Amino acid sequence: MDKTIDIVLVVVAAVVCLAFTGLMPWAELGMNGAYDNWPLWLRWANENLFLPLPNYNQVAGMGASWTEYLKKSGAESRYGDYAYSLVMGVAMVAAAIGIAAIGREEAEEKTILPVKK
Amino acid sequence: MYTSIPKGLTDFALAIEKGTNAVISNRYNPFYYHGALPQFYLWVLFLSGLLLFAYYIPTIDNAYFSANLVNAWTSVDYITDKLPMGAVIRGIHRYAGDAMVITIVLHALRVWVTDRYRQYRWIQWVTGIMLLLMVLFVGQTGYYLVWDERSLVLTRMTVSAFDALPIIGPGLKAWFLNGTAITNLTLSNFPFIHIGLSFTLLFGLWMHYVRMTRPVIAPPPAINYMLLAVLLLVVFAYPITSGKMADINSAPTSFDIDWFFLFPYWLMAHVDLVTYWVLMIGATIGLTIVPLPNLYKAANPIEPAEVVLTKCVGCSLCSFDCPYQAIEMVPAPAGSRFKLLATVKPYRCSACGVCVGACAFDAIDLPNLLDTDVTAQIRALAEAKPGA
Ligand code: HEM
Ligand code: SF4
Ligand code: SF4
Repeated sequence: MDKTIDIVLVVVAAVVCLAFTGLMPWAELGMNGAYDNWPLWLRWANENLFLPLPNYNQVAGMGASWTEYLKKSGAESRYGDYAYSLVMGVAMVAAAIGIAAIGREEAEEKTILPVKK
Repeated sequence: MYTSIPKGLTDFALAIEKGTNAVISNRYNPFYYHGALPQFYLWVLFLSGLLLFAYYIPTIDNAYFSANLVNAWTSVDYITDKLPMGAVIRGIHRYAGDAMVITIVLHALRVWVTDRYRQYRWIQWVTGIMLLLMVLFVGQTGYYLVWDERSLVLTRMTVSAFDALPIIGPGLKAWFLNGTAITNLTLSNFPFIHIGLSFTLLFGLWMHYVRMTRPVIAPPPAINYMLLAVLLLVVFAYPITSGKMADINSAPTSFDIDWFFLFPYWLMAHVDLVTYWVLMIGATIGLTIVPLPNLYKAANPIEPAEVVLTKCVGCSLCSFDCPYQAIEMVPAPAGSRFKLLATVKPYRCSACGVCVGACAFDAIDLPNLLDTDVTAQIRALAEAKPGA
């Protein structure tokens, strides 16, 4: 039972990590994907390393509602940084739940009394 | 046990704690780390503050609105607008401050509701009030630093509040302004107060902890992640903004209030300054004397532990184990075979009996509790089934 929980958690964690690895640069790009906005290291990697990098242009629209919310709330620039913060916050909530779920069993106190001979 | 608190309140608090245990187990119950929560946010504040400090320029400069003006406001603007993650770090710093105030108040309520604030714990309570005041003032100075219109109003209000104090008023005002008027020197004074006072918090915390042998000052990682996550989510939900750059020649009057830190200014705006100070000083004194023993005549008296002089071998074990630093090891009297002797400081002792359990020589006793009874009680507790 415990083993399955651990395995499920590991799989979920792996998927979450991968998703965030993709989402973070996207957030960093200001939540759109225009190639010119890519950080230099990413452009360099794209041109020289032939990595299968995601096409951020495709997800550009995803940021629109977030950007709109941020604008309405008074933020004036660097919307991507805020998105980064949001994504990181969600990741940390996931991490906290994961750690707590795994650590839960240890919370049970086991008292062993020495047996007098 | 909780004789000095309305019973319903204590029951309510304990019921919430128990419910939380049922959901996330006692290991991750934030109520058990109530003191560690503000401590965690303090570290966050130190770190994020360091990053802001690296780019902050403490001047007001008189050449208002010139194109290349570099002053406190433009440096904060630079941090927000240009620096990678600058706005987020600013947000983290601001909201960690708010979170610290919230968690401090919850912590204070928790120790009050569970009757853990008086007798041998009065030092923690009194230093706690001092810490709270310091945190509030540090937070307020943070709002002066931004040097937007709100900063200007707050600075002026602070000056007039100090001015209204007899005897020490003029001195405080000169110290605060670093001169006689708001100048560049004032702005260089603000980070000094803000940062200097926040490091002074560490000294206050040392006093807060000095009577506790094992204070719980660090929450477990899962709670740390959660505390940080809350900040990051709030940073997104409420993006941080600054107002317009302050102009010494203008007289802005209204401003947004951060209720966690700036409520004294709200009060100041609504009552005259004499009433303001009477209320503030009165509230401080009122909170400080909460643990005063005379207020609790009926509460259960404490019978401190006693060392049996002829039995103590000076092994120090009891002093290591005492949770409240109540046992001091002193040189043994002349003629003794041993080097040290345990002595109990009665005002620090909680009569918890830990030392009785620690001593292998039956050399320390609680007047109302025999050594054998303590052992029997420990055994009974240890043998009880968890949850029973
Ligand atoms: C900067 C803010 C503060 C921090 C970081 C802080 C931290 C702590 C910590 C870590 C403990 C040990 C808790 C434990 O081990 O169970 C503690 C105990 C205590 N604190 Fe605070 N505290 C702060 C402010 C306050 C305030 C404002 C009050 C009350 C007015 C207060 C009253 C107490 C009392 C009475 C105890 C002893 C409780 C006990 O022995 O169970 N503290 N504090
Ligand atoms: S009973 Fe013993 S351990 Fe407990 S506070 Fe008093 S001296 Fe310390
Ligand atoms: S543990 Fe017992 S013998 Fe050792 S110092 Fe304390 S009172 Fe003395």
